[in-house]
Amino acid sequence: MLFNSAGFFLFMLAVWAVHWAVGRRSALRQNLILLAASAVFYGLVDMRGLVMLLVGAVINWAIALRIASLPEGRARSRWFWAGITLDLGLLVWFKYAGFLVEGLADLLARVGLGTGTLEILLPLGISFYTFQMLGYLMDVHHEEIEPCRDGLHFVTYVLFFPKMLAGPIERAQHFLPQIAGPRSPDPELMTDGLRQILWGLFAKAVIADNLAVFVDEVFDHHTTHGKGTLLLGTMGYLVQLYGDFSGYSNIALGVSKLLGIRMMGNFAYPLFGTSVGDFWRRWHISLSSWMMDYVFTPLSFLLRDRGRAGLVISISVTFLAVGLWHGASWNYVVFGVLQSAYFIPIALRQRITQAPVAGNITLIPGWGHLWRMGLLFLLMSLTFALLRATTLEQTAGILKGILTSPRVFITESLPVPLCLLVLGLLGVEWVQRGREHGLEVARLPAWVRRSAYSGVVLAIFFFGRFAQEEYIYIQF
Amino acid sequence: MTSTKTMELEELRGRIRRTVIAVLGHDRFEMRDDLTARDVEGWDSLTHMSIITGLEKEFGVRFKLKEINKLKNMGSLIELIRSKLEPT
Repeated sequence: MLFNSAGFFLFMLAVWAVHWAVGRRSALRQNLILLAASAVFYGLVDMRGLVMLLVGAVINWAIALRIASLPEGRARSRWFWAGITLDLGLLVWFKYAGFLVEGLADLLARVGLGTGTLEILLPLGISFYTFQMLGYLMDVHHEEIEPCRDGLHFVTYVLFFPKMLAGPIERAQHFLPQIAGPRSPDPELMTDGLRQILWGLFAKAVIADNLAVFVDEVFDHHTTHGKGTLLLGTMGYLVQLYGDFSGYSNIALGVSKLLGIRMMGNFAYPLFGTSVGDFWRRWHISLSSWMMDYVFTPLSFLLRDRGRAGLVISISVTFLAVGLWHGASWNYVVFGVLQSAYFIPIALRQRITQAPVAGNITLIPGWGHLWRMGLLFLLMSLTFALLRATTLEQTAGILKGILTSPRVFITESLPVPLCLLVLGLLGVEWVQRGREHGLEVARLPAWVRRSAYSGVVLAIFFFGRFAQEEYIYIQF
Repeated sequence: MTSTKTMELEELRGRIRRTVIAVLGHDRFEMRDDLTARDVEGWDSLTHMSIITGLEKEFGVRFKLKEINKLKNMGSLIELIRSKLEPT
């Protein structure tokens, strides 16, 4: 059930009505309704995955309680590592075993020892919910949070359907206090949720899904296109991916607000970033901050006496983990290696935060800012092509075409209305870049708000594609 | 006795401030107890580790990751260093 489908709209309407009508003034009833709705939402797509997820959530909950009950020592460490091994083990088995077996089979085939492959069906959202549970165990083990005593609260947190399939990777300390007590309907929060859903739909159905037609053509037939078209295709893919994933995230956050729960933001206008460090503070924030807190910080702390070498190793491992989080493919490995190659020189000069931040730039940016934003956009477009291409050969073919093709002109054009809509998205987000989302207009006069809503609704109505295009990040 | 303690505290704050300045390359911050890394230009996840390493060298102490993760602001950092320096 995709967020941009009529089925989800009806499902959401029913959950919203039951949640506020039946669950009013009772946290227990509200949470039971959320849990039941989440189980239905996930179970309709993947029943086997639902059982595995429920069992995994209960085990993690119990292990965290056990860890917290023990004093510092071997027994506590053993329980902690048992939980980490279980979570990581399941993730590795489902997500990476096929890749590892394939690599091994290739190696064996080269020395004439036969071949074999392993087909494993990936449970939906496993990368997202596993990271939530891993983070929770680490926080409890490091005494940063108290363990959740209520099993219903914890399982509701893990399964909460708006974030189930593609995040955000929500933190327990942010989510759990919100469902600890009864929630009252907050009209302001709900209105903002509706606005956020509308903006998300615009980014997904109008921008991302229309760009997908052009991007698919360029990537799928890259050998027939010249450098102009290939370059436009890679840039188009970055905007498509942004529209797709930020659109998904905005809908998830908006739906959550309708149920009285605020989740953490996942995007802070990354296309306006002015440096690689700035970009990663704005792109898929729930993943990048997770990696920063649970991979980079412990590793750089462990290696702190090794000076620059320690820093280089920590950054490389972190970005490799970011790349591999997307899946088991050499494309993702190269993606991680490239991102660390961009980041390390800046980190060694300790100038991560010294580039101007888009939020601080005046309404009309100077040439210097535009130049930095443009350069970063180009660099990220070329790098993110690795997430779209199916093989390393395809990525190499596209990059080679961009560098060496004699055909400079764009042969596969983008429709003019789509170009204007993309500019519209970027223009609105530039003006709104200090706000949580592009349609956060509560402070504006009523006529401006109504015009904004009408404009977005009309754009979705006339230009939106609702051909059940899947969200890109669900595959990760 | 109290004034000696105050002097020690002031000296401690001064040494911490100098260490932070040496890493960040500027002194555009006030040593308030409620000062957080967010309030200080350039104090990010990367420079944070350099500051921690610098403080370990400056005071001849070793921190635990758990202690670092629990730091909320400058006040808790000062308190942590003081607790490490106190004779056991």
